[in-house]
Amino acid sequence: MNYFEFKQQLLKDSSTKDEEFERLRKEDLRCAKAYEEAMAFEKKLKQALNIKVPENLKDSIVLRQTTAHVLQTSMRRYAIAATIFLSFVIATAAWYVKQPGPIEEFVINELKKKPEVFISQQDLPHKEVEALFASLNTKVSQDLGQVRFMKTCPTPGGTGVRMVLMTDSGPVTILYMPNTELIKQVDFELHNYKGRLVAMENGAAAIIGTNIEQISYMEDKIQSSLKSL
Amino acid sequence: MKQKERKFDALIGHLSDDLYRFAFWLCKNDALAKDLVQETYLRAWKALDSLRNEKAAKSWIFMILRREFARLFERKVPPITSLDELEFDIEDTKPIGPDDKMEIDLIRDAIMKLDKKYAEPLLLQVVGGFSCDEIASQLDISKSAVMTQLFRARSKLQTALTRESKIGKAL
Repeated sequence: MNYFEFKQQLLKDSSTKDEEFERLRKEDLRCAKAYEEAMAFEKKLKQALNIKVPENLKDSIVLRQTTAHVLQTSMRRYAIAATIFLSFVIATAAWYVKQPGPIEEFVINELKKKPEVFISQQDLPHKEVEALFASLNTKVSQDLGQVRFMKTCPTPGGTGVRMVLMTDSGPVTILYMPNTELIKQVDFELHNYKGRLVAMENGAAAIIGTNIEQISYMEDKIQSSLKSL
Repeated sequence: MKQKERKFDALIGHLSDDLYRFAFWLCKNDALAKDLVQETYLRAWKALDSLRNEKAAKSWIFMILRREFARLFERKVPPITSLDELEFDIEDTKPIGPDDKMEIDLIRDAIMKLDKKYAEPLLLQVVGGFSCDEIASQLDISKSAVMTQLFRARSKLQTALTRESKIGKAL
């Protein structure tokens, strides 16, 4: 191996354990200098490639795995059915609200984008729930229970909230529309899932669940908890 | 299930950062890189039982990521993230001088422009820590072809570094 071959090897694999390479690195001054320069370059190369990893990467990996696992079972059926059902509820509800709009599109899109909300294992802290509702001029006077997902979203009357609450009999989806006025209460049923559109002190809400008891329970809960600020 | 989770974590749980960096430089987009890593882990999770040699777990998951990248981006090229949006995450505790930072930026810029044929073996070597034999196996090419591509990749980066440094100095 001569100097040029040594330099070539540095560009291919400087960590080689080749005896001749090692000898030249230690005994030949030109090679030793080339090695030193190569190591400086390798250090910069590593630094250049060492970009920052998103802080929530590990969590999102676990969530995707969990989602995939659980959605294969009953929750997946629930998520799909809830999506279909909610779209039906909202489409029908458009006849009963004074401010009809593209509400069904955003609900469908939201549910399609975030199916993992149905299997989230962690409750949102009550303070976070309170703060989000406060931004919509709504006070949470009583604990809503196990809020597993909550996100603001556009509704025909302005910003609203979509949330998923866990009950003993499974998840319940609620769409809170603080600025949407409902003319009358509407009950729906589709694919074994049930829903209800109710007028609230401040706007309206759609409640989707698996049975009427679950929906009534949740209706009482949100009616007594969500008040105008 | 718990046993499978423990095995999964022990074998490949610690590789997510390396996989993300590899994915980023492969698709040159941070959001897609994150998706790619998530999808890779999901596929690995589903296929864990097919992993016969646990010592090859690292090669195995990098292979899954490469295949997933090929599957997703065979026909469409993802939008490239601006280098200005990237954050440094330097292992050294010493602060980086302006000259070093400039050189690192130049190398990043050159890697962004590097042909996939040259970038992939280099990324597998530097980010993944694979040997030339392992890279050859991953890419299904000969070891000498890997060595040639590594040689060319580094030559291109060094040339870009030298050229840009000279232009910078001349300005």
